[in-house]
Amino acid sequence: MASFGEAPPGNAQAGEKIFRTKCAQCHSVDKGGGHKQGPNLNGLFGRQSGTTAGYSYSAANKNKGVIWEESTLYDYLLNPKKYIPGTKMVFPGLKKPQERADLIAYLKESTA
Amino acid sequence: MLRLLGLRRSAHALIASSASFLRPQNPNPSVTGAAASALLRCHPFSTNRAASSTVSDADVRKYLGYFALVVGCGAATYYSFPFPGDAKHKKAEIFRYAPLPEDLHTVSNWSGTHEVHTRVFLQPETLGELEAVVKEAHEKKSKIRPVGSGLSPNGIGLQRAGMVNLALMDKVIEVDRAARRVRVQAGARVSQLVDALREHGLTLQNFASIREQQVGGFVQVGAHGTGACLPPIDEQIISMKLVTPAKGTIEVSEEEDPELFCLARCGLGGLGVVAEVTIQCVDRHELVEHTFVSNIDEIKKNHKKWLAENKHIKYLWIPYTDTVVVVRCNPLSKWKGRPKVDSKYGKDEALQHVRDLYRDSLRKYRVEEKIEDSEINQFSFTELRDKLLALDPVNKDHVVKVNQAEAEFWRKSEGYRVGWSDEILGFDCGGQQWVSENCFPVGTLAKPSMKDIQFIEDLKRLIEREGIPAPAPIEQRWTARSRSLMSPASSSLDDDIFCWVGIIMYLPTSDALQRKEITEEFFSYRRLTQRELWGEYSAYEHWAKIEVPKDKEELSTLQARLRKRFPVDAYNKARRELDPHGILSSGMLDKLFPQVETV
Repeated sequence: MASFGEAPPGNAQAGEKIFRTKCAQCHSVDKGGGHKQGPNLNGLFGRQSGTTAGYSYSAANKNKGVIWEESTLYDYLLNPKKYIPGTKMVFPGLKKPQERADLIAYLKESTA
Repeated sequence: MLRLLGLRRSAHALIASSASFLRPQNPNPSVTGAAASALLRCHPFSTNRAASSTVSDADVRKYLGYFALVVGCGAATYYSFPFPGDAKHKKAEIFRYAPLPEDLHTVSNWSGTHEVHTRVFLQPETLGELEAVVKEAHEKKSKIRPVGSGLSPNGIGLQRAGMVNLALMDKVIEVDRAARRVRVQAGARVSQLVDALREHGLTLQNFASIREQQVGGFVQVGAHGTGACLPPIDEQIISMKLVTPAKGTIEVSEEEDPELFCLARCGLGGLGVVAEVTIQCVDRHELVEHTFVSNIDEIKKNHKKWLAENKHIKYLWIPYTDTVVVVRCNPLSKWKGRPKVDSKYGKDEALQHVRDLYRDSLRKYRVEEKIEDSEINQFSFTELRDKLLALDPVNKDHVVKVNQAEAEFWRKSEGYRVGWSDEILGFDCGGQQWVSENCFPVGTLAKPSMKDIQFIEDLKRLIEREGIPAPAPIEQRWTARSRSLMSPASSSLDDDIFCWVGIIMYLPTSDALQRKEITEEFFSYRRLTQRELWGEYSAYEHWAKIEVPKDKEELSTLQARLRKRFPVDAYNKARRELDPHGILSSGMLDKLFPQVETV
């Protein structure tokens, strides 16, 4: 389960709970909602890292230049600080493949 | 082989010469070590052969053994150090993310200064689930420390052995428009609550700088905003539903159990899991924020008046400069018409000199990474400050320059802003940081003691005398007293007011070594203020910012000090009654308030 291809299927409902407990204090997914401590995640899928207008990213995040999609998010969310050394995000990551898959399923629905 | 023989020879020589100061252990108590060594030295071929040969043979063998060991260690050390340049196998790594087991939850606070790994991180969704969780943990005597958003700079909610988090219990239960009261689940974040209150034309009386904390944590650590007529947040609590390990779910309010209510409002999560809270709100209102730059003389002249006249007022002192930024907020209704909002300088003009300083500093520090002007022009002031400080965070002269630039920035940012209270009262307090905030009494509104201004003068003198690389701002705020017994602003006298002063050092880098350096510098800064100011001003640290000393003696001094200010025995007694197995407690609480058996 080292890559998204091998990950278990995600459950968006379970993912929403993870979002509420671990992400919502810094991120919003609502269209038109402002940035908080972290950037607004609306329109996340297909976007290049560090490019949301109006949010000031770390150089590390911009330089990474990764396109956010299931497979990259899956790797990123395991250990954000390892994936993008120097990121501002104080989030230690989700170790369980199931949790990452759930969260990604939720993000895909909610940020579209 | 030759080498070995040589070693042997020198071993004998060494024994002969060192026997005089090495004390052999002698199995025969009648022959003392000194005597035996004298024997060895003076009579190597003594006539008393039997005695001397048993002593010397055994000793010789022993010292030969020691010697071989020393030589062996020496050789091993010689051949393994220093590492050749290409040695990789043993090199110490500064920091490494080791893969963690999958079932381990990592929880860290916002500043990234405290972090724990736990296997128990429970997230009940309903009151029933929470009650079951608490009951089970109580029976099993397993820890479930309540933790919120983890906003507290000292990570007071964190507990390795297990935590319960109410983020999924975040509903607004009831709004009573007439009484201006709201009943909310404690896992709701302040921003969620304020959004929900908006449609009812209500809001909270006061706000901290950030609005992303959960209501439970917000109340339990005694968060506060500023305004000498406004108490800390805990004072707005009308009643609370506590899920306790020993007594089940109880509703505490002033009417039901005033003593417990006053203890539990600012109860540091130690008396029960706060599940629901009824909060006194106020009508939603617009504020006019006026920001201007002042200095100590002007402050001394006007302080009493300003404190009484302004609903919310705070001073941001900039170390190593004469500048103090005054931010005061008052209801729009007090103004005749809307004030002229524009400030004299545009945002770009206010920031230009800070950007210039950053560009100069990049050259000075020979930063290789190319940072485009267009990128620099996008940074906010706090981001620029972080980036500037990151270049040389503990160099006093560098910090002084950054502070001077900050003073200039505020001079160019004077002006007015109008907005809803929840938007205006927030404050961009910068990125990751260490803070220490103290609270102390400053008289009454009718008769302020001016101790607050003295405190700052002493603090600024201390900073300059010790050459502390103290960045800006030193944030100074006020509140009315709280009746919550564990509040640092607790007082039985209605018109007492308290001053809160926060010192800061930013952690603008993820480099572990640099963070360590800043951390050490900060703790030395904090220790100096502790030594010179806390005692004199009866100052006590904010519960979300107090750090537990590692040194035993310092810890017992702190415990004695807390005991003087707070009803520690009553708090501990309530903890024993409600949570006899200490499942809600943490290492931090146990250290701050050790349970002492009382007769």
